[in-house]
Amino acid sequence: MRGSYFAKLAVVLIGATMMLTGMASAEYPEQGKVIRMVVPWAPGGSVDVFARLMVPGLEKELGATIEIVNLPGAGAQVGMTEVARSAPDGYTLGVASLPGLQTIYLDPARQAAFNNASFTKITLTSMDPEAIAVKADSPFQSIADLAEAARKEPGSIRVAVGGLMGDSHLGGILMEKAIGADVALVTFDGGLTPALTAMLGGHTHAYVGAPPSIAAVAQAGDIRVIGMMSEERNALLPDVPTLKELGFENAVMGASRGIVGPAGLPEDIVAKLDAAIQKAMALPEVQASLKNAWSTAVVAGPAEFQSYWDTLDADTSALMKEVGEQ
Amino acid sequence: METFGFLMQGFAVALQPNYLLLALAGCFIGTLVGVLPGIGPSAGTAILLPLTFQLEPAGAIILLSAIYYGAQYGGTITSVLLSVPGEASSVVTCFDGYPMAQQGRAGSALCVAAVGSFVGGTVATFGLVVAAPTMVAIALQFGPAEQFALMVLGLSLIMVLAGKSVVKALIMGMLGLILGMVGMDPTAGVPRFTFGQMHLLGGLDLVVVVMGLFGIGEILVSLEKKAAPAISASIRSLLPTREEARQSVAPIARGTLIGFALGLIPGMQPSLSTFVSYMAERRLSRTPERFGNGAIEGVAGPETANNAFVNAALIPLFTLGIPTTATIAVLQGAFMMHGVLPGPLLFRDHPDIIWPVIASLYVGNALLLVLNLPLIGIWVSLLRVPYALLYVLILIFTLIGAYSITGSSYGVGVMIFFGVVGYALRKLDFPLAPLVLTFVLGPLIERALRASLQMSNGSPSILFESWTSTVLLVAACLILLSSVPRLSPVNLNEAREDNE
Repeated sequence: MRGSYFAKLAVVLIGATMMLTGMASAEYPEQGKVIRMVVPWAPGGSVDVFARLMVPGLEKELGATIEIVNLPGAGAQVGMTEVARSAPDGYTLGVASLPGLQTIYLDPARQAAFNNASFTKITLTSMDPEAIAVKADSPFQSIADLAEAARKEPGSIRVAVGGLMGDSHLGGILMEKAIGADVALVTFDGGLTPALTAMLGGHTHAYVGAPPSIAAVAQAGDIRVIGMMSEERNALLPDVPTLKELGFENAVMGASRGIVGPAGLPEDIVAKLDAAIQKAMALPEVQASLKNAWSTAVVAGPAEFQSYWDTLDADTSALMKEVGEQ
Repeated sequence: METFGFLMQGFAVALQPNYLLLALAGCFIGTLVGVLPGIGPSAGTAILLPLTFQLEPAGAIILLSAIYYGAQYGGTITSVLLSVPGEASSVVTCFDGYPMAQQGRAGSALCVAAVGSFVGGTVATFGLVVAAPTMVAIALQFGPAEQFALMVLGLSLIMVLAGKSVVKALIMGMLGLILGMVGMDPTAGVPRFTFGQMHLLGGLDLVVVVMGLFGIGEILVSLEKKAAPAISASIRSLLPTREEARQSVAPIARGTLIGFALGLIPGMQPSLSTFVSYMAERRLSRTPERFGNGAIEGVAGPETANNAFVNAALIPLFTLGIPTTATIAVLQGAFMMHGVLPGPLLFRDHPDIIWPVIASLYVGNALLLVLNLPLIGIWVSLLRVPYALLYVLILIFTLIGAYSITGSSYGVGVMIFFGVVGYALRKLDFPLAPLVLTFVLGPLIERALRASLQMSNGSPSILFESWTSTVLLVAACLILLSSVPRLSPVNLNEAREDNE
């Protein structure tokens, strides 16, 4: 009698727990629980601003409070490690910047605690192609001019790029290969800002970086964008030719951004988040701010994001092997 | 003058009650942020950034800028009273400000710092209004090679900080350089001196190290002394004496120039302006031995420099959209969040935002002075608190501060480690100033040098390509040469005898 009593109790308890767990995940996000959105960069930077612009709309869509947590350090490594290590319960999310993040785990020297499989890809939110820019009064009016000068005197053309193995640096490497001549790539550890400053001061002849970094000075006419490293012309800069149209092959590079969570995030939570993020991205004020900042919004769901990530992984890995970083 | 007309319109807006209140709030919050060790202006502005969403763009920028320059003064308070620097830029103030407090002249130090901050900030803002584009054009001439030369010049002044023992100062300088190398190699992308610890991949945080060396180190040293209930010397008048005021005038003038110039140059940090000002004052003084023992020039110059720096650093943001420090990047973020692109078109497209902001910089600097002068009495009375209680409070705040900066208890561990190191160094009579200077300068010099060499494909001749860098490097050599006599065996032996 006792045995069967305990057995029934056990069944009831297990059943109740399963029901409750079932209910808990169906109720995501729970009332009163705060979702942490980890931004692995210092406040005020482009990723941080993007997150802060998008979060109010996302909060409304999800019906939950989202707190932005800045965890800068080691070029996003510290923050993304935290995301990878968090519990996959949907209450810790992160903003991943590619291919920068990939160069971290693809480089064994960085001893990354995460890799492709450590993250659940939720939504891709933007893809900014690299722009090649020169000062408005520069003697180089086009990529062809730069290429010619580089061929005449290898190593004499200086190109300012951002941090080591970042999207800007990789873009510079691809550009160098595409034009077939040696340029002096100058990496600026502090990011795109010192790189742009160096070009504005005339210390380098050109600059490679995503459009948001040059929006202010380009719109004012102080610099001119002479080429975009994208497949097709960019809607924000329709007059700028792509390197592809100019005849330079294999010169596509950009910075993409997306929202990720730790690996193993339940599918229903992923679906809910993806839907909410896509709706938030579609809000007119978010679209307007992105456009104003020259950021190209491109939205894709989990499956597309994952396959894009995988392809980019392979491409970045190949590029890094060539450059000797692997 | 058109600009003058715009500025007057800006004042008309900035003096409205709501903007005035925002400036006041910013000054107050900034001072508080500066006082609390560990929470720096970039953290403080970042925390308030989401709140500024509710404000109009001009109001948001007014608030955040006020926090920035308010924090420069706030850091002074704890440096002077407790020798615990609240920010990196208040480290230098500990050297002479704290001895002044121990002599009962804390009020004088804080007063001179407040007046100097006001002068520095106001003159810098004046420079912004009158000649921003010209200033920026000159500043942009400082590329990696010129930045390298300038910082080598700064480094060459290290002998000025040497005090009694030159050898000890040089050892500390080397140690600072080594500590600055912890983290990722900027050009090769491999970890250095991290011992496999992920938390060290980002390098050692300056504020954490400084709080440990100066704050915790100071507490540990004081624990050895018999606990006095409070400051023994009576607290003299809260205002500086006529003599002190006279001595402060020149340092304030020089500090303004130094801070303003460095604030414009890309790649600089506020703490550097304080070091350069301190070293300049010490070098130019006819009685350098007073430094380190409560020389008012050692407070007046650096305090003016850091406020001039911070106000000048706004210029590249407003004219080019380029943020030169972390806090200015937060300000840029605030602009972006309100749909305003800071840059060359800012004055053309958004005069209704930028002119009130600029006017508010004047107003805010004045408010800071008005706010803080009466409060000096309150701050100084902190010294009457028994040391036992005071030190516990400092410990609590620095521990929380270290955690808030690094986001993990690892940072707290690092700070405590450096606290012990600071204690040991003090007991062994090693000067800490050279260590902090090279810790800040080292990574900057390395980056500038490597970028320069990348530009020249490895040839060092690029360092002498421009007149600016050549002149600066030659000046650095001359300064080093003039310090050589101190290194002669005769002098070193004398110094050793003095120490024994």
